[in-house]
Amino acid sequence: MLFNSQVFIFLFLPMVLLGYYGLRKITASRHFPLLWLLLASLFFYGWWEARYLVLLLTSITINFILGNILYRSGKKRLWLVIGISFNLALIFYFKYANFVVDNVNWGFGKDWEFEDIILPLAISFFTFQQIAWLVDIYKNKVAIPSFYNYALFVSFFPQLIAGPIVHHSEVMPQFEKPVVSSQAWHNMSIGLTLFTLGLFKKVVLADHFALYATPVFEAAGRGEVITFLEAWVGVLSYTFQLYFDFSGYSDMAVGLARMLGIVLPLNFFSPYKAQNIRQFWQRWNITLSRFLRDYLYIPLGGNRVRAARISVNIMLTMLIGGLWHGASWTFVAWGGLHGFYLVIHRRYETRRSLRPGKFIPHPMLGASITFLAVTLAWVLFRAESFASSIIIYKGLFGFSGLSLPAGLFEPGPALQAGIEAAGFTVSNLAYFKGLPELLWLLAGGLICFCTPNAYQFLADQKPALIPPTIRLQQSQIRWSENFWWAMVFALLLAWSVLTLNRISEFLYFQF
Amino acid sequence: MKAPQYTRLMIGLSSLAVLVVVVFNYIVDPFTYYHKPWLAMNISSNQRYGNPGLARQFEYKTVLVGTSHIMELRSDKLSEIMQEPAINLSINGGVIAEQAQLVELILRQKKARTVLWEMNFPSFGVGDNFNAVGEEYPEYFYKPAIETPFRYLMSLDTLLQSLKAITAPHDVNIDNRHQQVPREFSKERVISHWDRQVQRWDASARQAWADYRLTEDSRAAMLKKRVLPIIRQNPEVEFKLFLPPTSMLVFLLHKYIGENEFEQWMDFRNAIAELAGQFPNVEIYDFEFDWASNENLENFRDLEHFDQAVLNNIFVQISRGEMRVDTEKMLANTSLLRKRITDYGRRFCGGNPEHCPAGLQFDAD
Repeated sequence: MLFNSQVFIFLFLPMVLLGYYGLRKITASRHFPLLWLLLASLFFYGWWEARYLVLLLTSITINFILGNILYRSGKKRLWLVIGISFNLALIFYFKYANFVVDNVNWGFGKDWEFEDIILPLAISFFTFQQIAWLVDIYKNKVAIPSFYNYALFVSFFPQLIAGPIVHHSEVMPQFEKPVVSSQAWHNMSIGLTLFTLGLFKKVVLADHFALYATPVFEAAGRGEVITFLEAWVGVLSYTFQLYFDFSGYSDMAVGLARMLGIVLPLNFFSPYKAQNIRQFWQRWNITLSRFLRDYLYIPLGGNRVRAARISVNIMLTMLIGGLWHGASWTFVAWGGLHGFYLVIHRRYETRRSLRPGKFIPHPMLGASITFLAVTLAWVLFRAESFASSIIIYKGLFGFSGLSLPAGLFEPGPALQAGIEAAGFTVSNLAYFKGLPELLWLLAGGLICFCTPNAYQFLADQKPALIPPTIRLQQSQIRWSENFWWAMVFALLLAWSVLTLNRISEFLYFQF
Repeated sequence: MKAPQYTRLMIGLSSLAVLVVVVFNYIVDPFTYYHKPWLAMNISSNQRYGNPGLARQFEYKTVLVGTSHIMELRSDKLSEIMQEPAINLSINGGVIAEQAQLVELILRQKKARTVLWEMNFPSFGVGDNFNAVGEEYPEYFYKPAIETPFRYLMSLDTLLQSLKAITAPHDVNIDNRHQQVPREFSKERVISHWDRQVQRWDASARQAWADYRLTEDSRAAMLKKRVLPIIRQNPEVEFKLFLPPTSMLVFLLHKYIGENEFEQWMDFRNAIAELAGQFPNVEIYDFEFDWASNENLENFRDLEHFDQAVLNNIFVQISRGEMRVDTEKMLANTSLLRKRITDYGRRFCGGNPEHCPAGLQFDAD
């Protein structure tokens, strides 16, 4: 079930809220409302493919049993290895087995076949979440919860399918905490506001940018030539599509949890405003970055090793981060490119710290370079193959012709000659018509770079758990429960609901 | 303002706004799904969205279903030829899966006695991929679904269609849905299209084709899956399945794409006769075999779209029972067609060597 579907908005969500608050009202026990949430979450997951509900429940049950053994056992290391191996085996089988077989076939000229496996929804998320839980039991950082509390922690529907990847210490205490009834309406109004913002970003903004991005990447996939402006419009549209898609999804997840009185960790914080690539990763998919840092980069030695080894650790972490996004070499290359960016940035920072007082770049310059680097890397993330990404890169760097769209630009004969002398042509471009794309890109840029994000807008209300790397300050535009904001968000909600006539999948679903 | 008031106000106002749009969309009903036009001043030309409504709201005894080949035949002309109320509900670029859903919807209306159904080989080549032509497919219009009013009426896109409908000049003649564009039919245009297709194939289409097309028996499989069950379940309805005319260059293109692709086409022809021909309520008409039309490239505006005279003639001939085939006749036609295609290919390449790609070979008989 998608958050941006009518069945979710008009049936599932109202029923969950009514059941949850109804049970809280009629029973003194907090267990029944939580049990209701657990059942709702399992239903939510099973709606997509009922048979994979068995997989989710098996994963939860086995991890819970392993966690219990690990907690009590004297051979903690052995049980940790078993636990991690189980989770990795699960994700390997469902996500990477075909990828490995394909590569073996390609590399060794074999013709092995492996069964077609449908990637279970959210497997990357619930596997990582449970690995983190096992590691923390090993480190004696966590006590064992009740089974249904644990099951709810893993399957909690607002964050189940595309994050945030929550840490047990963030949500389990909230599940166990007695609920303050007076807060319920306040949580509801904050949650509804955040959900509306997220829904608007997803269905109105992200899905519109997809109309410009998808044809360009599909054409490259078919081997068509993509000219300079078409490539830039396609890639920038995808850059904004992914931004609004993921940002919208994160807002919806945080908003939905908040309606139920749960505050989730921040997962997305204006990443395109980052002034360097390190900041970008502190703002984009924050909880995944945190997981990779805490459970991969630091165990590899983190920053406590020699400079060359640090670079290797960064590269390794980002390559695995890339592979986490999908079983394809293009994702690995995307991760590797970001690893390369991070290594360069680290070297630059180290050198700069050794020579204080030297050149300090303007923040705008840093932000521009970072945005450009991230944008170029998205090509690998989106393209179906290296061949199609090369077609796009050739277009971006002007190797496939410099055509101006006839619809936007109809020069007179004199100007036409000048344009041609400069190496350009004017023609009907298949994937760039002119003004609408430019206006949308301008609007996307203005929203990404010049407006406060949802969490700054709602900062007074503590909308999410904020990581120490983020300084959250209230923006000048301040949300509060008043008539005018109710009007504004009612309109945004109506607009979004009226734009649901197509169901498009979240990009982050596939990871 | 307190939190409960804020939440109620927000939900109440947004619900009100949505309700206003829903009511307005229902009154205008731009795709005539719920009622014949009250306020809608014209009929939408969007076939994928519009055809289900037309099938529900208009009267007919004969219905024509197919692709762009036959799209420009006016329903009043078809009625005249068939001598009973008829409606043309063909879909530009329609794949067989959506055509089948349309026929199912039509037959649920209990109005049609005769279904004229184009069996266009390429339409069978994309399996169940409704979106093969790159547009969103509104399946909720075609199948009885609880979600239809939500998806149709609760939509800004529909609102835009409604506004377009009430601001357009009044015209509820369904034959005026499609703008009548004067077309140029000539051999030069067809050969130019042929050159482009060959170039496109050489440049980029090979891999796309490999990804796009299905396995060897896919066409017959789709026939069994999508067409035959409908015929079987509606014995009281007469199905006239026809293989449309097509320029000989289309066959040559399939030969160029690969002998396997060409053979599939020939096998598909025979499969239609063999599998569909066994039903007593089916008649099969073979216009692919009509080389008087197909060899004359002056009849076409591109590789496969023929002119009005050929178009009208199809239905005149069907109404007279001409070009009708049974299994044996189809096998004989296919055998002869192979020979004609080879002969035509030799003549085409002999007379136009500059248009004949190196990979196009014609084996000795």
